[in-house]
Amino acid sequence: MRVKIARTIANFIWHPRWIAFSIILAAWQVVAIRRNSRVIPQPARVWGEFWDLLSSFTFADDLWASMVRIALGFGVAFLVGTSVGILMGSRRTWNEFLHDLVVFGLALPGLVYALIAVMLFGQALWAPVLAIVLTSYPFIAVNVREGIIALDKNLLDMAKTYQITKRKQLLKIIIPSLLPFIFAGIRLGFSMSWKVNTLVEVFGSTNGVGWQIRASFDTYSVHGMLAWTLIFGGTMLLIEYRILTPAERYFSRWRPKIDGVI
Amino acid sequence: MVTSDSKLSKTSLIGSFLYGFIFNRRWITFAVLILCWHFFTLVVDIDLLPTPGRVLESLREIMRNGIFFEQLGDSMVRIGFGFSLALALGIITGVLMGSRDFWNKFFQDLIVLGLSLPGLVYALLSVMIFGIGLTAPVAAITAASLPFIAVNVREGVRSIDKDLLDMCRVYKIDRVRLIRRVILPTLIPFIMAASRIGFTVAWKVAVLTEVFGASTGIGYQMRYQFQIFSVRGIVAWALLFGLVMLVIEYGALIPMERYFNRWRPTIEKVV
Repeated sequence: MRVKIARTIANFIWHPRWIAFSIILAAWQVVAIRRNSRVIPQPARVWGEFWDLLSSFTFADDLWASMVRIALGFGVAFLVGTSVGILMGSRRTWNEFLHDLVVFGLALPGLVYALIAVMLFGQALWAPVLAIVLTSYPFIAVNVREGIIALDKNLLDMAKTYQITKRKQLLKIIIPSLLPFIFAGIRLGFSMSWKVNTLVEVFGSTNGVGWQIRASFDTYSVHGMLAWTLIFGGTMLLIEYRILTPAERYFSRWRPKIDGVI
Repeated sequence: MVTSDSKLSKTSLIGSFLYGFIFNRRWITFAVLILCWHFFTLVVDIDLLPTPGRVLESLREIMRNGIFFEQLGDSMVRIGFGFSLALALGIITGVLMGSRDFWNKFFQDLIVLGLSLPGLVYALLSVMIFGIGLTAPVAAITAASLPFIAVNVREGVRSIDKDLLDMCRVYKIDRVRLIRRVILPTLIPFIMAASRIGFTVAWKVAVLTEVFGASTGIGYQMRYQFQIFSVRGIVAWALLFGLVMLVIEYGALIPMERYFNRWRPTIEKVV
């Protein structure tokens, strides 16, 4: 056990990632000193700015404002996406009807939705909500559709033959086989949501992380922008990799791995 | 006889394709959508929300003077440079990561970071650092789409059949032949998939960079329409540009991917 722990620690310390990080930091430092310009701040300056923001809790208000927008928008997007996905997965007509729309939705950049939403709703809460819904519902919808198509029809037939109640069918067959797909959709959709929300805040908002990034851009403060990116990106990546990805894995645990099947 | 047969089947193929294209439910979708949009704008009566007719007007305006293709050309030059650089660097990184464990661990975290940072950050940073020249969009595109290309190429390198390589060694196949007959055919489908994904990322970031620092290009035009509060202008530019990109993706990149994939049995056939 102790050997194992020691080996884990050793593996962590002797990891090539540190070489990569130090090369990048060193190169950055050298360029910053040689160019000596405002637009290439030294790493220490960025770190200082980051630490100031973090320790003085000035970031909390903006982070909270952004999180509220993301939560609201993503909640609506989830409802819309799941309904569209269920429609598309269970009825062929609906699939054909909505297919092009979803493909076009997947293809258009968030920028377009952000600009249009800001022009229509200004600084109201509707702007980020509309932009988030339009960008992230297609991701949820295609995943849910795949989930419905992948439902085991034989299992459903068997349940019908043995006269299992609808409720039990839903709880024991349909939902467990849908959940992995729904969570894959949530993860993808969420990563789209926070990105487009930042864009909306850049173009039309007076608070939130996107607005802070915009303010840094307007004052040519690269260090401020990097510090805000660190804070916000860090938070969102924590949510994605520490909450959503494990949740997806947890709900997929009952399925055999693809490698195991073939 | 054989040739006339194949000719016949070819014409009937085109015919059935056209038939399927014309008598397709998607046109019902579009008609219903446009009607809904039209009546929605009439009912809601927000000044900024344009009717489909006015968007069509903007579309005609953009197309009439050839402004669209001029601006598209400017954007495409930027996308072309940035994407080629990203492709070259991404393939090198991917091959390194796929073939050596050290390099995989070396780049792993950077790639994950690169995959998850929003394009906005790259766009703003490169505009601030490089100004409004050609360097800014090229740098932003490279940084944003390199990780997507690298991970795909890495998967490709990993999927090279090791037994086949061993066999080549035993039979003393020379290197050129090994690369041409074994390594490239395995890698190219992955590189094609990588290009498709990387290209999508590339044009989105290119537009974003043009919004913040450029005086030409599709992104700049959208920014201009935003500043004069013309929703119909933005919708028109976005529709046209989105259409061009969809045509490139579905008309060129996906068929190419399928072409290079033709030697592999499809999954259905195997199982």
